[in-house]
Amino acid sequence: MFKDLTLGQYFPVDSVVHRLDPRTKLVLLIMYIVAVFIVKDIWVFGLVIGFMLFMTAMSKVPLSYVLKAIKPMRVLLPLMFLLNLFMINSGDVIFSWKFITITTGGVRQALFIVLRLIALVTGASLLTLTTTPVSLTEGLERLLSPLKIIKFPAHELAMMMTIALRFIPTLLEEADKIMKAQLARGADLESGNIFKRAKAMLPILIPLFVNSFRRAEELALAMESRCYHGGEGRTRLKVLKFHMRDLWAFLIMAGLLAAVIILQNTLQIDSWMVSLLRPLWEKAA
Amino acid sequence: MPIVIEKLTYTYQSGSVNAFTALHEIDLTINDGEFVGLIGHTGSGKSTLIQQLNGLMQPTSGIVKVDGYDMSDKKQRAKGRALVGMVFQYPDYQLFDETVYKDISFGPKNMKLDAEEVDRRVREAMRLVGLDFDEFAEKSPFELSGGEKRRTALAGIIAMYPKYLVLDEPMAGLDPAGRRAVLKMIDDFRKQLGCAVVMVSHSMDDIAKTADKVVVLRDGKIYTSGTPEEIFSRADELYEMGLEPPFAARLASELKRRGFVLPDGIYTNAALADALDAYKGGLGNV
Repeated sequence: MFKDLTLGQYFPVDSVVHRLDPRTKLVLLIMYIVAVFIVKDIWVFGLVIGFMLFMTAMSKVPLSYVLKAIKPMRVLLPLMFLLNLFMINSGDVIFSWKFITITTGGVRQALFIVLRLIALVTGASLLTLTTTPVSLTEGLERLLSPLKIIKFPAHELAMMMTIALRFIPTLLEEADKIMKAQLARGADLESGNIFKRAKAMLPILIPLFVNSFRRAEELALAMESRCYHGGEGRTRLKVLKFHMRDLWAFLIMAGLLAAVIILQNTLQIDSWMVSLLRPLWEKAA
Repeated sequence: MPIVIEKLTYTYQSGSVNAFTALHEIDLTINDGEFVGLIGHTGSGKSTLIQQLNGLMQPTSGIVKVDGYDMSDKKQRAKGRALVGMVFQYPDYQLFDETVYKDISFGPKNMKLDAEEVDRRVREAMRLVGLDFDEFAEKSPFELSGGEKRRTALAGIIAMYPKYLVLDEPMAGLDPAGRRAVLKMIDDFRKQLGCAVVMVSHSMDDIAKTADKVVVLRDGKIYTSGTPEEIFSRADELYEMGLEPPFAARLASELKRRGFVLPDGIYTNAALADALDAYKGGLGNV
């Protein structure tokens, strides 16, 4: 039943992006998100999209894989677009019919919201496509470790994430087996109203929970018997190292941020395009 | 009417790069009241095959018919599934309710039987698996020991009065006394309920004791099948496949290698003892 499900979408090829330090990639993603949000000029947004495409090309991950991340939003995106298109009234009126009014501000905002969402989701998915869950949690632990001064449990948090990730496939497999055992006893999971169906899930959820608690206990014992006592003084098999390529990645990202800020404050392409196109809808009206 | 399997092929993730054919053109018939032992090493397709018997998986190609109900058809599958009781390896996958009584009654209730009949069947099933009603009925299934859990899980299926009882390694992880008790139980239901039994087991000693027919699976194909005599007389062949033939069969084959003249088809301790007795007698006459 769950056999076809692939978890963690790591795409295993060797590329510069894959080899980047996970800490670098996490910080780059944050900077990238900042860039996506400070862009006010829709034409400068091209720069951000261009950067995204450049990183995808560098990572050797097929673009179609990166774009797959948009699929779950196929309902949300058009909805957001239409809502913004019709609800926002600012700038020139392009089109007006009965209660429907489309303005330049609306078009701008609608395009913006869709592009921003796409840019965010594809950026984040590029991170998970090029970084294994293990190195991702390790990077996160190291990034959060300065917070240990204020007693923030960085190591524990990362360990919890690693364990959770590790057990997702195990739990799915187990859920599949339990479901089969109950189906064999004549459990009906598909018919009836929503309450009936929720109640029919109990024979599956209860064994799943009971087994998970037992497993958690066994895992804790197994870890303790191998002298695990938290992150204190723990060393790593693979020590993260800052390379030249990480520096380059930061420089490129800084360049992008600078370009975005300078360009949108000097060239106001946006309003320039609007004034250029204005005769079109004025003629129509 | 029997369970008839014709040219059953099953492929996991068929059509994808990871496609894996677990079963390949299986032909098998399970007759009423028959005890079939299914053996084969890990990954030979045993578990996949038994899940086809009650429609938890459907064939990629070929036919599985339970008493004439085609298990590929959604409507007929429900009727066929009601005839096949399936007990999984670990009882932890199945026990969920507050009390042993409620848990055992889950299956019969799903069959829409009236309360009286459900009660009667739960009591009967508990008696058959050797769980004392007064002691266990109101206990939580989660506070039972491993052996008791397994009995409860078995009772949950027995109470449905299946015509075919399918067991996936019912004795795994039990101590020798527990194994004997469960095996005896299974044989008892068969006699009392008249059901056919399909049992997957790694222990051929257990199968040698009870099975009418033995089916050996290898790489998703039926390698050989026949009566226990026929199969276990090929002890060396089974051993080479990574299986462990019954102790008596292995010892008989070792004795023959050393020059003892013994009849073929020895696979139980009693038969081996008889043969050795006769041998002793024979030598004495010379």
